Amino acid sequence: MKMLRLFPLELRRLLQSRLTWLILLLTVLSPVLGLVLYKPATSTTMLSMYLANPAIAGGVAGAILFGLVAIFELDRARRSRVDILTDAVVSPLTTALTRLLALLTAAVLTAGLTMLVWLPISAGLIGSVFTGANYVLAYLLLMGLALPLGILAAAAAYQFTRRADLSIVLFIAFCALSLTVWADDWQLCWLNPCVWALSDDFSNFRVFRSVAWMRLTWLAALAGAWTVSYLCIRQYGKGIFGSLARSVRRVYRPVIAAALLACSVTAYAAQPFIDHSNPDLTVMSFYEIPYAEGVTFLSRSAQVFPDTSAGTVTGRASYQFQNTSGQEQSIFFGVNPGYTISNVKANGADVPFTVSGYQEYNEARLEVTIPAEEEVELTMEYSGFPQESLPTMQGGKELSGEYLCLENSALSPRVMNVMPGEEGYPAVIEVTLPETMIAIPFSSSQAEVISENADGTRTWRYEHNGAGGILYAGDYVREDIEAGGMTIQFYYGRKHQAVMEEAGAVEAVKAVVDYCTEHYGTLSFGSGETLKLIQSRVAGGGYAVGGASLLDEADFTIANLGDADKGAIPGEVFIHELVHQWWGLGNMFDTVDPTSPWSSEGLTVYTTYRIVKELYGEAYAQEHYVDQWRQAVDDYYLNFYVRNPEYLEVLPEAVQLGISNSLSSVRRYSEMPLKILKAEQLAGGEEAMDQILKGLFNRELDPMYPYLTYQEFLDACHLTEEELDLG
Amino acid sequence: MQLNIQHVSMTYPNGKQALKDLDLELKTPSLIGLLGPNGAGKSTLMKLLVAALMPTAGSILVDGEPLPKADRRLKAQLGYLPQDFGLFDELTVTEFLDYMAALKGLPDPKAAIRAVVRAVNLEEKARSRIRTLSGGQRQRVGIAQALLGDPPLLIFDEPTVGLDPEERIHFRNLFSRAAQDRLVLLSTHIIEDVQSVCDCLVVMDHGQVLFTGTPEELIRSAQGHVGVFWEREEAQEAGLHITARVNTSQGVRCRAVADQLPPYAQAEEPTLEDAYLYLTSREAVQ
Amino acid sequence: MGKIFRYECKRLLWNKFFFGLLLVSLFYGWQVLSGVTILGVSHTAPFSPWSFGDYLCRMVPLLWIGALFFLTFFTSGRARRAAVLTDAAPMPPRRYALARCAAALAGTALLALACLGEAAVFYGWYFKWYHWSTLLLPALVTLTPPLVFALGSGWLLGRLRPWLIYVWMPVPFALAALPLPEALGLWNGSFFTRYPLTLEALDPAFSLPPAAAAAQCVLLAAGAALLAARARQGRIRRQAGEAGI
Repeated sequence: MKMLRLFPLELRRLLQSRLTWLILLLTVLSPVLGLVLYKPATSTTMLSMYLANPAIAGGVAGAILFGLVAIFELDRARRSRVDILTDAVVSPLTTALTRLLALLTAAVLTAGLTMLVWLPISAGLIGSVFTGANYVLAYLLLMGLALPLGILAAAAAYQFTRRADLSIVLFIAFCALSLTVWADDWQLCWLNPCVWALSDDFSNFRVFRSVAWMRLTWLAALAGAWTVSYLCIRQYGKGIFGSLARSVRRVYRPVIAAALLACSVTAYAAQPFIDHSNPDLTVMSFYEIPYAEGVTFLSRSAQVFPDTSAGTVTGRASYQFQNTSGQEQSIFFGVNPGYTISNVKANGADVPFTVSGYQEYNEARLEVTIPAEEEVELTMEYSGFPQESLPTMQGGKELSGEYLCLENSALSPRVMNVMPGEEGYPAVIEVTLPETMIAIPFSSSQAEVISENADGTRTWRYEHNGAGGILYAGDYVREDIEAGGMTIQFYYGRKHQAVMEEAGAVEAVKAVVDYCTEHYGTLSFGSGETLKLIQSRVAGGGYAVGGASLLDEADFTIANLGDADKGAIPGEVFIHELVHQWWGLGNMFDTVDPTSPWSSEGLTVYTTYRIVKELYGEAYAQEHYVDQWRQAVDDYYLNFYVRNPEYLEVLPEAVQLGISNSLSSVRRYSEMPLKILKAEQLAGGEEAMDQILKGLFNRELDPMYPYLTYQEFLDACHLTEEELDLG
Repeated sequence: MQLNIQHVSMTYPNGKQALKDLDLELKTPSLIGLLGPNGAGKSTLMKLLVAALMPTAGSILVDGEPLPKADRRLKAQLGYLPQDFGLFDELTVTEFLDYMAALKGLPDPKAAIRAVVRAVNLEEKARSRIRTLSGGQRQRVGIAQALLGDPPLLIFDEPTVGLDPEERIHFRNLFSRAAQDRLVLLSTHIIEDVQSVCDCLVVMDHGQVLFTGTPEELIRSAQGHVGVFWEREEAQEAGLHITARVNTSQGVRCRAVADQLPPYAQAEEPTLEDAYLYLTSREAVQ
Repeated sequence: MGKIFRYECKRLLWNKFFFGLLLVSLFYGWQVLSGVTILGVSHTAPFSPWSFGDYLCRMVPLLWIGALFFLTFFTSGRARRAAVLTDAAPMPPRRYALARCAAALAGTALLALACLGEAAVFYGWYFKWYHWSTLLLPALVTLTPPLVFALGSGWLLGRLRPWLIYVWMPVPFALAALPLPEALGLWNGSFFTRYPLTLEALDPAFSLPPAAAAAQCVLLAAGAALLAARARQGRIRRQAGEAGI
């Protein structure tokens, strides 16, 4: 084939151009933008900061650069009029295809080179949580695949318009669309994939799969567009339509273009990742379904079989109801929109069921009609790829051999309109997992292994009481710590072991729990005897239920543990983050007001200081905490705008807010702890302050506004705001 | 004006010897045609004459003064059109000529520009940006800048490349007129250009001068060496340099030059092209 | 000479490239002003000579690149092809080089002025502050030496090998990453953030320690010497294919 013969020549010509090498060099360097300038992944995990952001930035810059070089190269022949010579020998269609292949090959070379160059840098920056698989997948999907998309888009624009300036404008506009208006639409942002976080300690397959889906959708779309533009390449002195009419005579060409475009449209419409939940979060119609008359819940059981390689779930659920109404009743279940329900039987007989198209809060509504029998055993099977609701924060439904989190209807269909029986909603859940994974129910119940299976899996079983329920499982390390009169089951990812050990995690947990329980009281969500502290995959924050509390891995990254604002040494940052279980989670704070220093950080930093003082002595605490707060606060008071607020006031509101925000972290992390320290002195010393804080921690909450305010703190201290001025 | 080239040799840094022990004397007024095949050393000779290169051996005298010393004086009297040159695409024709006039230090640039623009037939394009010009028009801008300020020494390297026949004739006449009181050196491949206007020819090959003299003298040197015959088998045409083959109803009529014409060939009156080919082919054989 | 300067200015400044560079500089400048300078450095006002100097130091790499890009107008392949015509003209090479150098300087100065003007607009817009004369000295001290040096060194490098100019472009970025001694703090901007803190006064007036002043003088002198050397140099004998400005 002529093209195969021409391809090496074209590639050699391309690689002989200095411009190609300049673009190649710039692309290889471009990930640095993700470290300093363009940081779309907002999470603070090491992989988000040092892998996702550089790779995405590299992809954006590389795609734009290669797009421009594609236009330049395609236009070069026309500019230098060499096309008159080449068109006489080879069909312009063949030339176009050869050029495209050469450009794509150069892009592949560039991506490979970038991966090689950045491998040691990334490994060095990321530290012990670096893995080759994450690195390769991130660079391949977040960066590598962007380059062919840029080339295809730009080449298509040029082949349609045949003008370099116009195609550059079109291409840049197409890039700008992705970077601005499409930036939050995970399927449309072809240039800058919607990745907000990559997990350090657990797998990221869900995010990578979603990016791969988006890339392949666009690859098909742009390859289709390119093929159509290829058919429009001007021939025989004809215009765009005349050339098109000639080129389509070979039927396979338009067929390929149509097939590619059809693939893209199908992939766009049939994406399996995100559901179609009602975006209006004030609507909660599923909670307003009236209870089925005369039906009570007796028990349920579920056997769940996550397929950790495919990321899917298969399960069987069985429900026992008592139907005293003597009539058929409609029972509603919440099911994950990604699941397919089948084989629904009541007392062994098939019963009719429907799944609604309407979705709300990541659930679709399954309606099953149960017979008019008193004892009804309803069984059903479900399977599929669990879907998520938030396209801009994907990854929550990660399901792999390292980690999974199945929440409520993703674990098994959740009964919505059946009254609880005498025992509530008792449930027995069995889940079959690879042997490296530990099942951790997010409640006080404990899971145990009931069978070791021949295929290397283990079946876990636990009891639960509730219509829903959350199950975490993963390659966890568990440490049992006796502290504060209870057993703390501390679960953290195996990959994080080195970091946790270096931070003295176990000692810190013990110190914090002992100290805080003694000084402030037990956590309301502890079950009395045990408390599970589970390090979760990056989720944007922690939360707690009875008997279990979640620690977001982003709070325990190497970088965060080295943050001097929060503590002098990594272990102290760990203490700081754990203290948030008391101040932040156990006692909630309203969203931060940039004009006020009051937030969960003030009491947390103060408590951290007190614990450190107890652990390492007064001199150490003074040097590393009080003195540093004072230094930071002195700097703050010397700040031009603090000294001359009139200049801040003349600035536009948005600018004012930006400046206040940049100053507010000092106020929250240094000024407030100093004020609390002053309050401690004014209130009569440490013991008095401990009593005040204990009183605040255990105060009766107003359910309408459960947040701890500065005024409540001042009132408890019998002080006024002015008395705590540091001036 | 008089240029004396004495035992000039030029070897490029890559080892290629472009000129070998060249001797020439060029005097005003004359229009000298420099002929020779590709790679003969014509462009190198011209670069030496405009002091763009320094010879590796020998010397060039400008009115008796050796060149490095006479550099400024030479350039003040020089109009030069190289074979391969660039223009400032972002300027208009007039602006570019004004730029060159400033470089040449012309006292009345406007009049000089008007004159040369008219001379090269570029009045319509005078205000156009150079990037919008065609190849022939760019060539004419090149010629115009060389003619700026009526310099007494004009050196043109392939000046008629890219021009249409009408323009070629126009420029041929222009050069001829210019040569009435100047020294014009014209390097070209096109024999017609030199035949009609040059009063002196220099034929070069392999860095050496093969011939210096008038066109008539060159033609005379080929007398008895040009013949026509009906085409024969290849082996029988050995030693002949075929210059033309014409298909006729009786067969193929060939024209050839040779040191010794074969008996079947009928002698013909040589043209300048025949003479040039005879000269270069004889050199090649030797 | 004046005419050559005018035409070279036109070539350098009246094109898409210059306006693109100007736009990029202004955009970057505004980002710096509204993102960094507005906070003030070392506890001083955003319009203090120190904050202003910090802004200029952040702009220097871009202006440096701009100055070197101007030189590429004289070293590019097209320019070299045009040089066969200009070289045959009798104008003394020294004067010709001077005219071109002046044009490159004018272009660089124009870019720098645009950045200064932008800062003036910024200060007027946000703070209604117009005492620009206090900023003159930091502007001269910060901008003149590196930009003159950029032209001088770039000229020399471009004459050796045209591509060396491109290699020379990222030098300020490399300097920004290096922990330079205090005396060279003006080369990477650390001077404006560190030095005022050592003066132990609130809102100190602008002053320059002797070591930093000497470093800037040396840089300026080196740049000027390189430019002067180029201008003084006679005609460069060109071998086929060799580049020259």
